[in-house]
Amino acid sequence: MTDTPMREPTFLVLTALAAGPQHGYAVIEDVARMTDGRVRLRAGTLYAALDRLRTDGLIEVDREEVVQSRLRRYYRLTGVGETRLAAESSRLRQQATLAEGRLRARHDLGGAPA
Amino acid sequence: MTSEAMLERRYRQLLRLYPREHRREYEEEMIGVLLAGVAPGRTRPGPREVLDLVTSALTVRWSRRAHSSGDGHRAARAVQLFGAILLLAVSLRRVVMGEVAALRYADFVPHVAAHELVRPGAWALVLLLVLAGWRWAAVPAALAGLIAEVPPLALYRDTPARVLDVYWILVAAAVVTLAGLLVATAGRGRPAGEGRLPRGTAAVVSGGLLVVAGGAGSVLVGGSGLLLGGRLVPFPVLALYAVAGLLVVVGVLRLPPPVVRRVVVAAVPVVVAWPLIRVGFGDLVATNMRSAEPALLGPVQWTALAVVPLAATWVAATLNRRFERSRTGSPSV
Repeated sequence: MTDTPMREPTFLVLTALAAGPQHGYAVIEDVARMTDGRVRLRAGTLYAALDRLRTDGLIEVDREEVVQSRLRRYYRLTGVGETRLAAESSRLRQQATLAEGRLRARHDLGGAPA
Repeated sequence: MTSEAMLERRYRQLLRLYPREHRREYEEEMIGVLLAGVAPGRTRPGPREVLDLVTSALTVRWSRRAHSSGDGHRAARAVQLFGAILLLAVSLRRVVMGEVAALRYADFVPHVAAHELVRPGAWALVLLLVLAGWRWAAVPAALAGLIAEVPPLALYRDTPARVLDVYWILVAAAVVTLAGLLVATAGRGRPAGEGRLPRGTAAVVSGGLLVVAGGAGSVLVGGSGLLLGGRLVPFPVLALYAVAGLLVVVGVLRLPPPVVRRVVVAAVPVVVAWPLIRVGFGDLVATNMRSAEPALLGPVQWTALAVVPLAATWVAATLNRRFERSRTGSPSV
């Protein structure tokens, strides 16, 4: 398992699946919703991420179904994926807290631009 | 054919860029996602979609290769290490030749210029970084070695054949750089025994030392020989190079057979460089030797230099994959 920071699409895919099992297109929609449309995953990027996450054991297939003669596969977060997402969230929170603290100190010292 | 069917067909064509295993696993699902929410009447993928699918396919291919079986990784390590040893030997050979000539014919031949040491320096650095396990740092070092091997533009304009002489070295340097990139991106896919040197390293180092010794020998030893790359190579020196080549082959053959096959695939673009230059560029070299005005390479020749090694590697890799599939009944990674 790597301790390097996660790429944003990976983080968002894991976050989407943290809410429960979802199929590919639902993940794309969920990510767009979570980011207010800022991140719109494309199929190539999504499936490269899903493949990598499956290989690393962070997600797994929950179930498959056929809708309008198209295969739909649902993915879910594994225990390892949950731990990894929690670790990444904690890392991001620490960084955000640090940045906020420094910005507050800057304002308190009157260093902010007029 | 309906517009959706046409669009689907085009998406499937693009998905062929992905590795077969990836297609088997995800193609139907991806088609479903790609077609979901598409505006009615659309028959072609948008440019961003095309770009996304192409770059993702390349990423998946690269990542699968990097995280591939231990054999793929071991082969990349062997290519990187053995290649760096041999490129160091070849670049040192040129320096040794120049310096021995300068010592022997002090009145006529100047000492080797400092910039001539950049090439061996770069490959020595690659070796040190590889041995130290600094996989990522070895990649830019190899790239620096590759760039250092590129002849100056002025030399090409003056004597295009000199560029063709070092073409195989450029290809070899590119292969070593790519192998280093594969090793660096492998991450945790590395097999056990990563820290140890590949078997056969001692034989390859011995081969490299003989190549360097051959450089000195070609200045010191006289007599008849063969004209290679515009230089007369005396027979005793040729014998030395033959032994060096044999040692390299022995070194490679000491690796496990699946690794050997992959190393051979990686060596194919370097090996085809020789017949490519001899057969495809013999006339150009002959013309340049006769004419005072140098004949430069045309677009077709530049394309051949770029495409032939790639095509040969692709053929060799395909044959190896088929061979392995026929032996194991499952696709190789």
